[in-house]
Amino acid sequence: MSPQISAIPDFDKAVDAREALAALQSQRVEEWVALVRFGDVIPLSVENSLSWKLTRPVRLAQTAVKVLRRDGITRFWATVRARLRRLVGRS
Amino acid sequence: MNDNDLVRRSVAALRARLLVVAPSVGVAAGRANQLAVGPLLEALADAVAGSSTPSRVWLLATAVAAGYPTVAEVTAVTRGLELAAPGVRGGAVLSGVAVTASQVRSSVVSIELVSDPLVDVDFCATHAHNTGIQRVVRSTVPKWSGAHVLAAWSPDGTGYRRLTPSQESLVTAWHSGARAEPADTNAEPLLVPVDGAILLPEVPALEYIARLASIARFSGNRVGLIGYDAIPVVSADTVSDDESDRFAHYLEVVKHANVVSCISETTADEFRSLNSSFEAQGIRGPSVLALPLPEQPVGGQRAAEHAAPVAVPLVLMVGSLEPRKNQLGVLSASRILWERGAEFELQFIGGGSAWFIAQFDREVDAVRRLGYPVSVRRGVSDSDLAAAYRAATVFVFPSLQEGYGLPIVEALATGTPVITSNYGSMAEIAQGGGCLSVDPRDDDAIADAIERLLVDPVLRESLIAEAAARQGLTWAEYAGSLWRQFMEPVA
Amino acid sequence: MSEDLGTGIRGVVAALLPGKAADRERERHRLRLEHSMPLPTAEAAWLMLAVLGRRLPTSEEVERAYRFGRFNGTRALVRSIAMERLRHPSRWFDAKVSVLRSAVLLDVHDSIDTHLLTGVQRLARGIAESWIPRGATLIGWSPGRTQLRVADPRALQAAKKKRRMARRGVVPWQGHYVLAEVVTEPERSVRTQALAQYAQSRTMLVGADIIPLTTAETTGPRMPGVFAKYLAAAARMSVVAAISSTAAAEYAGWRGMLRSAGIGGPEIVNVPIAETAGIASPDARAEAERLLLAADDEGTLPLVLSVGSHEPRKNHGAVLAAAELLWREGLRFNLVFIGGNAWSSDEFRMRLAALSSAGRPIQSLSGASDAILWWAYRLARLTVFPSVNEGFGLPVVESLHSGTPVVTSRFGSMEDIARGGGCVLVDPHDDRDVAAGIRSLLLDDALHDRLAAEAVARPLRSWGAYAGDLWRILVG
Repeated sequence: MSPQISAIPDFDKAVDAREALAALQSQRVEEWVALVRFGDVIPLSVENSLSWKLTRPVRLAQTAVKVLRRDGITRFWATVRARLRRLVGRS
Repeated sequence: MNDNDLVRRSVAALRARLLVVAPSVGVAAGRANQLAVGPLLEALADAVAGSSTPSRVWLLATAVAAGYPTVAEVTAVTRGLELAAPGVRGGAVLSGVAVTASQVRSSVVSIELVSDPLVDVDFCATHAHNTGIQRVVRSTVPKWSGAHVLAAWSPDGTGYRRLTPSQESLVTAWHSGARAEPADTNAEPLLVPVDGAILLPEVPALEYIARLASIARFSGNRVGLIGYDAIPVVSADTVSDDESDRFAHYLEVVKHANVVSCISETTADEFRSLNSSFEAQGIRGPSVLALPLPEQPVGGQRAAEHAAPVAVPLVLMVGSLEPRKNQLGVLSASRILWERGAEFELQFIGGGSAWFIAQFDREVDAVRRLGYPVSVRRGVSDSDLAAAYRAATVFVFPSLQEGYGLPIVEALATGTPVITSNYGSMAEIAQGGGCLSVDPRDDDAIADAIERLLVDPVLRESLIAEAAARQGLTWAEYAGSLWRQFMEPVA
Repeated sequence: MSEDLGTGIRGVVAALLPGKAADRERERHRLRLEHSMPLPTAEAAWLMLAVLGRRLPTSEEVERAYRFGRFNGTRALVRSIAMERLRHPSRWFDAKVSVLRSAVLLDVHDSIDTHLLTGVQRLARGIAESWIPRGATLIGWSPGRTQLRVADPRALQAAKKKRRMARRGVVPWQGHYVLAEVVTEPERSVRTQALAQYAQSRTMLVGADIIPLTTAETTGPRMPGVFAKYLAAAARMSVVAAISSTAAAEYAGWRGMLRSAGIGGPEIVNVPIAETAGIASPDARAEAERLLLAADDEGTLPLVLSVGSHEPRKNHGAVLAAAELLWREGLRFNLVFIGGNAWSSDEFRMRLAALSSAGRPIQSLSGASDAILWWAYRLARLTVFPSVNEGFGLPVVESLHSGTPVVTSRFGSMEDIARGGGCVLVDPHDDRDVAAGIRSLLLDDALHDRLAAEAVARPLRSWGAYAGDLWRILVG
């Protein structure tokens, strides 16, 4: 039960069986490639180069893209409406 | 091509990169070739974790990310490998370099290990601009005979690529009117220096510094720089905050470099002073050497004879228009002389940033309205510049700070006497003869020196004779010495 | 000691010309000035811009005004400064400025402007408390950072900070000026630079370090650029009083660079900063123990303490990694961070959360009161402070004066402090070495007791003694 210090926590589950391990290792590489190519890694340099005021809209946009990709357009609008409702203090 | 396809090709490229570095991190090629990408990464991570050599961590991180990792990333990978259990160490590497990997724009990048010195000529390869640093680079790098590889940064700023033919000609065969081709960069391979060297004859742009600092600190490659000056911190009041900011970050590379070759003793003095400041953080800093720049006239050829004396003497100043160069002091000194009744024409040659040009033009116009002959020329070609040096009676260059003072030696090589500042690199050059030295912050002192050269032909002739007797390096000699300083181990 | 020469042309004439300025009529003053000083000096140009123009000028503005005066005379310069002010409506409401001759001005603007009590504020307060009785004047800056203003001496203490500064501007002339904080506003730095150049005053800067220049990778965004402007002001000061021998060496290196610009640079002196023991009030003990201590089956865990904001320079990532290495070895201890978040502290927080959720006894307190902090030092088995660069390293001496040994870095100011005893030195860039340092103090009772005894024996230095040394260097 040793905690793994890593930026992407999903990559460090301990696994025993050798074959399964090899397959899983390769699968993780694929997942990682998909993540860094198309995923949600926010380059720190982007954050650093923008002041925090600018970072917020960037984060917002990135979150929006994440939700869109994960849940599709219908769910996305539902989320936006829910957020807006919360923002104006209703329901 | 859909995303899955791209992922598959990216994974294949990642495996190919791992195979290239496998022998260097301690995994035999034969064994590596039999492994699928996951187990291969695991094997390399195990090998690196076992040795925990920073250069191996850097190399593995570079191969995985397809770009050079930052200091934070190498540290994260080192910690990850230290703490991760066997079997999941590959994940630690992947996690550690995710940010750089995500910044690499191309999905399918191959790598090439390079043990010959990599020479970063990024700016000269991508810009036609040719003053100061670019003159040095274009006059020096093409003359190096030792094996080396010219390199420029990929557009995403994650690593070095070989130059394209048009980029190479911009560095080695620059000519007046040459133009940079936009979007002209090799897609691959990424050049990975191993047991080699990185030579930085330019001052790198801010966006590359984090990766260069990491190379200097961890990669085990020798890092050599040309030290031009420390103006952005010493004369910070005359430059923008951004310039000072970039210089301070540049010091991250400097403090982990092996050797800095400075263009004057004065600049070497600055870098030695910096080294003593680095001691507070337990860092010794690089070996600091001095190698003053060559003394060659613009266009390369010494004037056979000076232009015939003209009716109205010409006082010339060449240099970019900025407060540090002290054009305002020269203008004021000239006005002092004109008001005393002296007769001469004053000419400034040099471009600059818009805000200062506007302010300077206002000052010049005000003086011109009083009836005094002063002109400003911008965008002057090299041949016109050489002609101006020849036509000048006196060359004035009382700058507040210089790393060297190239215009001074250009004027001297043309046979024109020079008035320059009485300290720093300019005083260093003046010691070789042909110059009058003055306090640049004293308009009267500048005025007096100009007057002496205008009214005292004996003094002028003796300075001209001194200038002719100067013995400076040629560019070929400079290039040879620089190469030795970079490549020979220092005691 | 301090003498108010008045505002406007009257103040300028009184400052520049010898003799009494009893005359109340402005025109007569102007005529007298033009008569006695037909061409202004650069210092006179600075004074006229600051007083008649009602804004402290930059060096560039002084040079321009000086050259204008040289070709057109004092009379034209006075008129042009007045016209310039009238031409810009935004300057119509600038407050009048009076000339203070022979005053000792202590510039502590940022400390007046804040409620925080960080190292810098402690320093400002420490100097002020000792200097105000000696006749020094606290000053801050106008909202536009164009004028110096006299501040209420109580402003450094008051919790509710209303009307901290006077409305009227002041300029020092032939007096003393001390800058006791790092200026991060370029507007203020460039005007301070001109003041140091032209006010005919002895000026001093209290120098903590030049980290934004030499360790830029660990500073906040844009900091190195604005810090360079602060150093440009420092370059024109008479003296830099460095807070430690390491800071003095850093500043000496920086001063060596100034030769290339023909600038002599300030004298660098080492005035070691005060070291005081905090008071751990008995009332706060129970609260501190509840907050800081943890227990396992075997009883209360030894406390490993880390104090400081979570900025990259403090190297808290190494502390986390070292602690994890030791927990895996089976060592018993809990780790507490006291300090606020800073730039680039996201990664630290994430890793801390990961360790915490894995069940490690670890926590981070921000905004802890002084009472809790001083108890933390006393309750801790050891303090760990492996910073990569410090001008002084306040937490190291705070811990030592509480009798608690410290694991700290093997160079710079931290090594200097360690020479006085009580410390284990490590390479902060090597997690295993940091872990070894912590391990030795957790396991080796003899070593711990010896270092704790050394720590207690460390001599104190009061703020009064520190401020007194500064005063002697500045005023004599």
